[in-house]
Amino acid sequence: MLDVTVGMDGDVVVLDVAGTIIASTVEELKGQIDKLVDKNFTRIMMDLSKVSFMDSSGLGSCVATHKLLSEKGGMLVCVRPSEAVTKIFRITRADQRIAVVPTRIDGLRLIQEKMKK
Amino acid sequence: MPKTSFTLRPEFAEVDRARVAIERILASTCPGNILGDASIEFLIASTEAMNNAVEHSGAKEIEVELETSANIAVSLTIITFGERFDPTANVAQMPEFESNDTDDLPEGGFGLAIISQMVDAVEYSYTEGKNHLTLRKKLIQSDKGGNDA
Repeated sequence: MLDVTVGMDGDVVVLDVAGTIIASTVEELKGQIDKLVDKNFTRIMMDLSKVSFMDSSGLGSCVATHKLLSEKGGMLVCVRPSEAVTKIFRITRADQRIAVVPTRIDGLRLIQEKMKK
Repeated sequence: MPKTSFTLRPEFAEVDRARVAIERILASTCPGNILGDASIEFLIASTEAMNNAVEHSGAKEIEVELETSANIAVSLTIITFGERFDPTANVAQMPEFESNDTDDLPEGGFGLAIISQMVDAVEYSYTEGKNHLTLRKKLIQSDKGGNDA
């Protein structure tokens, strides 16, 4: 099950994701991201604090989102991942390329810093 | 060791149903019913292995057997009827995130490498027309002072 709530913090989209980002739910997340990108919202912070589990399909969707937003001159930041989600990012080393930070404030700061360049 | 068996249709939603059940069983063996580090890793590997069976086995049903030994060790065996397919035949390489070109970043192919890094052993056999893939993990890592102790 996956539930995505969309909000804004300045010009950054904040996605509050709840549930599990797994093979059976990734299309739902992709759909939400695609809608945002179509409307030119390309600075996205995904709050993963309520995501209890993510598998490699979920990781793949994060990578795809990172690639899509980067291509459009934007950015993805993942914030507040649970222990299980952190493990997937770390063991694959995806966190070397996708920004994963512990708090929303860190996420917003990172987007502001990177988007200044 | 107590054994729990599931039979899944080859659908990802079924994998999620099994994952939730496995998580509950693992939690019941952990102090305070909270998954420790090793249990989380085993759950991740189990999910990836079941996903692989759904995606690649071609089987009409997937049998899963979970054996637990009171927060000491756990194993999961995935059994599928069909052509021989040994995922352990080649060393699983983790796709890399080192490329400077964002377009080259991998979006898949992580499953087998994640499995091999998250468990202590991955065993494969083929008997009576069925593939058996077994993942094993010690939940108490005495050398590392594991969280499950």
